[in-house]
Amino acid sequence: MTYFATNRLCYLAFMVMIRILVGLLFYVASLGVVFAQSAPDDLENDVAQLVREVRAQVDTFQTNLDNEEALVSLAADLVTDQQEALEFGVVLTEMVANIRTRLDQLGPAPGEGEPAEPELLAAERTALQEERARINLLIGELEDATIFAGNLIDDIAERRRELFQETLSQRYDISEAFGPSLWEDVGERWANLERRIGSWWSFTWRTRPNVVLACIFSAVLLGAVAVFVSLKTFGGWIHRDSEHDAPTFFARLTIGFWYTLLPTLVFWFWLGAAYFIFDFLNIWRPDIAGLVQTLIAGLAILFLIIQLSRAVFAPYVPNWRLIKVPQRSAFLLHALMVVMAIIVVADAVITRFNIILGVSIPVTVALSLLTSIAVGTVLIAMGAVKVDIRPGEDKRTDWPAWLRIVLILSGVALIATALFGYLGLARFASQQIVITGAILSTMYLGYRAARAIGEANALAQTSFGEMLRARHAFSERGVDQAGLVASGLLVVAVFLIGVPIIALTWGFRWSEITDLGYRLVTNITLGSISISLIGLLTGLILFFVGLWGTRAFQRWLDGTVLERGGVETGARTSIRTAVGYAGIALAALLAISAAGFDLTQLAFIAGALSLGIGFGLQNIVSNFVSGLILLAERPFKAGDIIEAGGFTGVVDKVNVRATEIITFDKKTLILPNSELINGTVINWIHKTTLGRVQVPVGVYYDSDAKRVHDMLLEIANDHPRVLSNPEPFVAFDNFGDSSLDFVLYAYLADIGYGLAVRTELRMAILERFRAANIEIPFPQRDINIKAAASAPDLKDVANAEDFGVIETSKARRIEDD
Amino acid sequence: MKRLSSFGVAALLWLCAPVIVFSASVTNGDADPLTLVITENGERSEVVLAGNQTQSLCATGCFLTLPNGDRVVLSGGETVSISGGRAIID
Repeated sequence: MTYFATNRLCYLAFMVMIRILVGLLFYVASLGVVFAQSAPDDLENDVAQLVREVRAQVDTFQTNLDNEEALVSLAADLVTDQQEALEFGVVLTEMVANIRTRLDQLGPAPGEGEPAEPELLAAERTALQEERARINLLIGELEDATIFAGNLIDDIAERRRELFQETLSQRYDISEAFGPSLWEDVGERWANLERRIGSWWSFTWRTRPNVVLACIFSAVLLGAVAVFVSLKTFGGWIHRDSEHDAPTFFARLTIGFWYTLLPTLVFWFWLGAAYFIFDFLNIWRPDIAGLVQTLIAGLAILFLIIQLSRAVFAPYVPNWRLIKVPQRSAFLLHALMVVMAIIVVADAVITRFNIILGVSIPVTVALSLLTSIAVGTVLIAMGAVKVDIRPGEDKRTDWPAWLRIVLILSGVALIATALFGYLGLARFASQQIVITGAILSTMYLGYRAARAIGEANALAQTSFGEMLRARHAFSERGVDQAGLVASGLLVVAVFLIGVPIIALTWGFRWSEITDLGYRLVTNITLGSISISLIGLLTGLILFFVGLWGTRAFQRWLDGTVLERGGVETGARTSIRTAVGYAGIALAALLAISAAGFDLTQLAFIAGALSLGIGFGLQNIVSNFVSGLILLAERPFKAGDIIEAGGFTGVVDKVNVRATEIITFDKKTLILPNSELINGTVINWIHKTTLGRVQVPVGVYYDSDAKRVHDMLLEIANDHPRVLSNPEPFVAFDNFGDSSLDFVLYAYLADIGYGLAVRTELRMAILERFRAANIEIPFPQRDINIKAAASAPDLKDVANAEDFGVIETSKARRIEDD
Repeated sequence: MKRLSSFGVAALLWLCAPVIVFSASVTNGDADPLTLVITENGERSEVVLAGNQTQSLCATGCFLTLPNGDRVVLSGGETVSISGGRAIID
């Protein structure tokens, strides 16, 4: 009987270890180059030995055709050999490169007719060429060895597949297995076990009773100390207070994690330490040591599973439960989980004992049958655990009906398979169900944790979130968004870790998984287009780096160079915007080519589409080009007051498509750039802000026109903002209907003050004309008043406070008045 | 806490470094197409590089046979440029 699943997990752990070791070896190999070069003969011997070893592995394969475990370790050995061959090859390559450099320094051999070179030189060249050929030969041998190893690895995989198939399809006769030979075998093994333990114990006790007592005492003492210390240190920390109202999922998960981990580690530490005390004093006999090790490993795993189940189902502290099920169901599920753990661990321990005490087919068959049926029964029982949601309770539960159906069905299928005699299949399936189930549940918890972090303000409430806010000046919203990002990353991580592990337990090879992963990130082919995730990511990162660089360059250019250079604001804006466009275009091009897209292909596509785009995006393109022209020509710049499209306002900024203008009543006017290019634009302050204001004023016909003229000029000259050059002047404009009409013209350095200056001028005119008795007339009209029959009764009109607050409409209507 | 997390990141990187391998990039510096024999993971294959083409090869290290018969072993991550039958490895 083989143990595929456990073997595969071992294989995984082994491969990870190998990867780490290989990584270290690479560093060491790079350090060892000098050493290797000084002793090429040693290297040659090493290479020859490695090649011999690889060739010899075929014998190991032939002798272990039926031994699954040996095949697995042989395959792992071969992978290591391949890596070693590569490392040797790297060193040799370096040597070839050195030899070639020296050959180049010697120059080519003299041709026919040329004078012969010194003998020493010729000899060295020959020696170097021989050395080069020899090393090339060595590399060739290494290459052949890796191919040989590769073929052997494929053979092993094929053989394991065959073995696996044989195990799954083999049918055992159950009634025969439960015949008298079973009881004989069990009895024999039991007696064997009793005899071994008895003889060991009586011998040890007789010869060294004091040492045994000391060991037992120190183990117990160590246990007591471990319990005491752990209770004192983190006992309070992992305590789950049943009075606590409603801990968040994240808090529950954190406590659950430590609740599982810390006591387990303490227990493992105690087990290991106790074993080594006995081991150190030579109490164990080799066969007893094997039995004890098995027992200890079983206990260690059992404790872990039970602790994990207590953390997840929390049968006694419902408020700390990690998955949402009612009290009774949680208790039952926890109990069943413990039973399942005991079955699985007991199966593994008994199987191991069986190997130590001598393999017996009937015992193995019976054990497989019992285990499969027991696991199936527990699965059915777990599926049968109902979740009664009482009215008013939350309908959502983590124990949905479909999961229960899956459990029951797999349990039934398992028992049926076992009863029909397909014990290999049943055993394999039960192991896979348990292991895959465990991994899936862990992934589910990870996924829930990710979702919990992603919930609104979940991260901000944790101490980590508080630290972020306090130390790194994150805003509350920033922490919240960081939580969202962390949540997404965590989900990805859960799948990236979980899925390969499941694939490994289902028999995929590590190299297949890494190959697939590698291909996924570097080369996804869709038809004739090949996309590389790494390339896309690089492109994206490059784009953002380019964007950031452009911004930094813009800031530097604008704030340092242009400002100190005394360039005016409008020109600075134009230059900054133009640099921004150029930077973005450059970053986009870089990103596209880094992402692996062929720019010539893009050009081809652009050419094909340009006609359609030309028609479809005519307006946008025209606006964009107009924007570029506006930036280059600068008929106006930010801050200018312009009249365009029937509106007047201050230019805010010139964008890609349109220009934003703030009108005087603070409405933002978005005017397409093409209109500004094609239409008439009046710029009040183009080139200069100089402007003229006019104040018309009329005076009584009796007034002294000359005096009025002089007074107006005097007023203009007295105003500090009115320029004396060009000087203000007064026009006697008209003999009006009821007045002599004058107009005062005055020039201002900045027309932006026009309204204020006009107001101030009028104030002054009124004030001084009154003082000088110059009257400003108004049109006079005759008004005929008709006496009404009866005036409306206004007495009933209520006082102001009786009206109260004015009711407003809820409808938002905006109308330009 | 901050130091702890940076330590964690460093440890993670150290653990992942051997697993995350970057392929070697091989450039054909000549105008003529180039045929390379590559043995990777114990499997031999031929790769044709067009003139002046660069390609990523060897995710996990490989043996490369050049047209002039020289053999080169790459551990992945190198930049190789081949011109006139000669390889320059950086």
